Amino acid sequence: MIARNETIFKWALYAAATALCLLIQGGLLQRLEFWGVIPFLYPLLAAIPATFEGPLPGTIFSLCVGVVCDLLLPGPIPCLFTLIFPLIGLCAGLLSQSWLPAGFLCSLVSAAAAFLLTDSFRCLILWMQGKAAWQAGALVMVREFCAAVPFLVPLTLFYRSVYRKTHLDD
Amino acid sequence: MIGLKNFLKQHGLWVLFAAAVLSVAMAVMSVLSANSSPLVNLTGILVSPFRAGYTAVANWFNDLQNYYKDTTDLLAENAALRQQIAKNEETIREAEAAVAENELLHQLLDLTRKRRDLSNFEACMVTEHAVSNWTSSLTLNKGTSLDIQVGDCVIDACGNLVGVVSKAGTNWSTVLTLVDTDTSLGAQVFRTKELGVAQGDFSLMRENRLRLDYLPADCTLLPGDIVVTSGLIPPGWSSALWWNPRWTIPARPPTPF
Repeated sequence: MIARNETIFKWALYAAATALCLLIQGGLLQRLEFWGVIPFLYPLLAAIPATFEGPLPGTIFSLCVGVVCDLLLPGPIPCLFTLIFPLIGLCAGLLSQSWLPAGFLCSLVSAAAAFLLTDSFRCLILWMQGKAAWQAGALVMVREFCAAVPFLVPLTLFYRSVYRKTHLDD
Repeated sequence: MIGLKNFLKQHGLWVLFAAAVLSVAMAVMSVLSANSSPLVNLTGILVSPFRAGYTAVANWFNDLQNYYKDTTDLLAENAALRQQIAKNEETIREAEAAVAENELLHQLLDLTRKRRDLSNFEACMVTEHAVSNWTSSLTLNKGTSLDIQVGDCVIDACGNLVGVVSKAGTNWSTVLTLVDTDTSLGAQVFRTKELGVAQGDFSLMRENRLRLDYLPADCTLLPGDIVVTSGLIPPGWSSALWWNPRWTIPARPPTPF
């Protein structure tokens, strides 16, 4: 049983790490373009911490990341990330708990699932608005994933260091 | 699968409940607020200094880069522009008589101007360009404190329509540009006067192009034709802008709907 102070410290550290990533995304990555797309790290920020923390904490953390993303980013509906990111956190948490131990491979698979879920949902919304673009959407999804893959390694190392810092007894 | 079952048994309802409550709360706040919900507004206010900060740093780097650019191209361009200005001045001199005659005819026939003079401008700076690959948006450094409202049109320095304010906070506003998938407005081919509907299309968004639908079956578009807004402005838009010379028919126009 982790003491309450340790729990608060742990999630404060995760929040600070995520805030730093958001700052890098906003200040630097949004100005870059790889293969015609901006490196979009938000789904990774929901997925990677969940691979370390497991399904329940991961889902709740992803929900919080989703709310922050909805507040920051314009979107077709006001709660797009709030709906999708908990699902990403749950999938990533279950994946690391059942099949792949948390690490680079697990982050890679979680990231693929995260982009698949997020971008499929966006395509679904476009389709519901009568502006279906499945092919273009799939292409953007693949490009977004490829543009985000190089950032998987530093992000995984970053969140792993946070995890180790906050789980000294494990 | 057992892990998933256990998780859903133990916590599924709570997680679903939390997501549902937050989603509904955000949707309700978004619907109830005229410009942006209080939470979105607060977040925008908090991140505004960061946006301004990194924009300033990026601009500083750009200035440095521009400083070292070779001036040869600029000199050549300058010479070409001088020639162009001379030609334009000649055209203006010839057109002055026509303008005066047109003005006189307007007065005689009591005609109203097709293009309204725009007033009440607020100069803004773009603090953030597109933030995702699925929307085409800009963030500006002015907001409701300067009477900017959702639906206000945004134009560039040359008077071209850039987009429409979709969210407005106290000191920030988000603009969805013309090529965003939300766009749908009346358009007219300048040469043939044929009317259509210009719509944002996700597959064309990355190329900064719009789809022109509902054109007459016998339309005769040519590559290079200029398309202007027809004046059929969507509800909620605060003013009518008529020109956007950047819209041109691409080399292979899309099949009319």
